[in-house]
Amino acid sequence: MTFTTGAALLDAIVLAVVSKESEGSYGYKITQDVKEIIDVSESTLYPVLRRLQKDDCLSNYDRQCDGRNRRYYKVTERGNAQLNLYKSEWSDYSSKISSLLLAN
Amino acid sequence: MKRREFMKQLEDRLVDLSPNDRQEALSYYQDYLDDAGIGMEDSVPEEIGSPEDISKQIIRSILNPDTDFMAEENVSEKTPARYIKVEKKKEQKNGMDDRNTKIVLIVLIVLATSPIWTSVLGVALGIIAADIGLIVGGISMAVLGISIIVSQMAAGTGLVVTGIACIITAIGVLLGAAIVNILNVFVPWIIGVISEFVNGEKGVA
Repeated sequence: MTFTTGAALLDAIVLAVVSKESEGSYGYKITQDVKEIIDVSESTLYPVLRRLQKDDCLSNYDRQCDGRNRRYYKVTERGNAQLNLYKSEWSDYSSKISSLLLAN
Repeated sequence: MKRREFMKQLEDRLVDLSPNDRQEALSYYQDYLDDAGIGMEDSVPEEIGSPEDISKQIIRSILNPDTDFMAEENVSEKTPARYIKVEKKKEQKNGMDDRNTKIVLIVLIVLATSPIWTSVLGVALGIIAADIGLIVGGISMAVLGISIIVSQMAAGTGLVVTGIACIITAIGVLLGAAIVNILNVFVPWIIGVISEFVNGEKGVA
């Protein structure tokens, strides 16, 4: 892992991963999905989820399954707006770097 | 370690959080370990992290909500030393420019305020001159007084003159000492203030 993933990019990745699921997603699954994309330290994710909730980008609800509780996270309207912002920023940022690094 | 022990340690380490924050964090990990299929007597995989690491990150994110933290493991090992050095050079260079600017600024201020400090200086020199006058005058008056005693044998007059002369000299000396003390404090202080301003920090260029 040569390039470090800063807080903003991590937020973007988490929001994108959660928004893929129509009913939202839960901690364990979010972690596994994010790990498929970047080499993340699992202990980092709870603080990120917590912060995204505090910033009103994620909401949560509890669902009973198999007799136990499972907390699901969903992307809020504000979270969606933020994610769209990240998408356009990323497009700009990555295309400039790609055209430089990957030219010829 | 086993899940039971893991959760106990985590709970202990989060004891300083508000009950709400602590409960949320613990629930998250209970859920997580359930979903990972790890039972109470099962071993918790290392990749989840240690209770120590986990609690530190949680506490840090609560205390410093704006912490910009990195996702990857062992980030500190990978921060290129090169990057750090470049930053230091930039700081130094800015320091030099700042210094020169400040020196110019001081010269301009000194010139602009010259009417004020030249007159203050004038007064101060006047006081010093008067003080010297007191001492010198006092001493010569004492000499005069003694000569009156000796030459004219007018002891009374002579003693009075000499006495007054001593008082005058004493006042002059005391005033002189006071002036010296004030200068001793004032001059180094001014120099200190100026050099601190120019250098940005005590004793650092």
